[in-house]
Amino acid sequence: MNPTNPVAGVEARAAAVVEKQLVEPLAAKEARRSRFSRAEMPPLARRVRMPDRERSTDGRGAEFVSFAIDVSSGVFARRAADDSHGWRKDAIVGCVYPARDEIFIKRGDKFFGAGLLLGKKTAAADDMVCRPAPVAVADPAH
Amino acid sequence: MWMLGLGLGALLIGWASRVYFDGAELAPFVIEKLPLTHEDLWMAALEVHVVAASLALPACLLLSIKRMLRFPRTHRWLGRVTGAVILLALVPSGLYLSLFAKGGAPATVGFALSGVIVALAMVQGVRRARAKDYAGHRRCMLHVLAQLSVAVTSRTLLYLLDAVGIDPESAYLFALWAPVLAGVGFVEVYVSRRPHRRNSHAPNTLAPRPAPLRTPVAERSQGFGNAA
Repeated sequence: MNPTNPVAGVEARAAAVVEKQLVEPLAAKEARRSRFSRAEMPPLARRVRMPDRERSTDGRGAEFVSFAIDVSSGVFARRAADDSHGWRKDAIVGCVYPARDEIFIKRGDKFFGAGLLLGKKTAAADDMVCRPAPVAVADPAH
Repeated sequence: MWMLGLGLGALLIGWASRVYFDGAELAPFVIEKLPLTHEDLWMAALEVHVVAASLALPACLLLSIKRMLRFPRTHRWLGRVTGAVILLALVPSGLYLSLFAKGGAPATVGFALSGVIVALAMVQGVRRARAKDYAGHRRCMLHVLAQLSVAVTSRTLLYLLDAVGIDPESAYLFALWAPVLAGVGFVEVYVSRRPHRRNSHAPNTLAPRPAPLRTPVAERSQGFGNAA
């Protein structure tokens, strides 16, 4: 975390929340599941990215940061030396509220609590979650 | 060896499918699909499909064992139950699930094609058995078994294709279509190479028999030739 740059600080904190509350439990859950399934195979590795450098504020005034998780698969797959290839981008996308350590993932045009990926029955979040509040346009007449 | 592999695969799938009946936790395959418009209907179809497949594949393997023909009554009754499970539960639920298959329209068509082959082959197979055309019955039931075995072969392919890093969607389509088409081809080639026997339960009348010992006419005993 960079203490001199507040944007980088929030970004790092958001990434840490996603790593701890989603990526790690997901990997632990996948280690126990059967591979002989039509469900997608668990990846070898995941990496968390923050595609939007800026924090956004939703309709309730809560700050959130968008994130994306890329996955790497294939025990015997060839890999580039610089690790630039072999990652499937945006396997999971969503947003995280760093202030309250809350994560949502996107499915279709809706957002769900990240617990869904961990097997918990989760209802879709309301339309304000993970969506930036509309910017008020100043009326030029005033 | 092939049958043993299929049997083992069927056991693995059946064991792994317990997760679909765990009320507390969603299975990874279910999580991938959500959200669905008619989630309860889809879940019900999945559960019916899983139970039906867990019965149908092992039963078809059992019915295809040659020793089973020694017990024709058992074969008939197990066949009837299996046929009913396949036609009334497995195929209808599978066709519904195919509408939501990963991979879009090509996957839907692949699963639907497999289901239609199973249904048609099952109906035709029952008709052939009732007509005592056991060679035709066997051919049809091999088509059913070949399509049911797609469950095992496609999962094996998915595992192998993932290991070499193939994109999941392409892998999913290949792992579906390749076994479906290979199954049809294998049965047709395998069956067409075997000598045709209309009724495998009846003595093989086409097989050459040792020539009967003939006594030259001149050496036959005289006097009884036209006794009848």
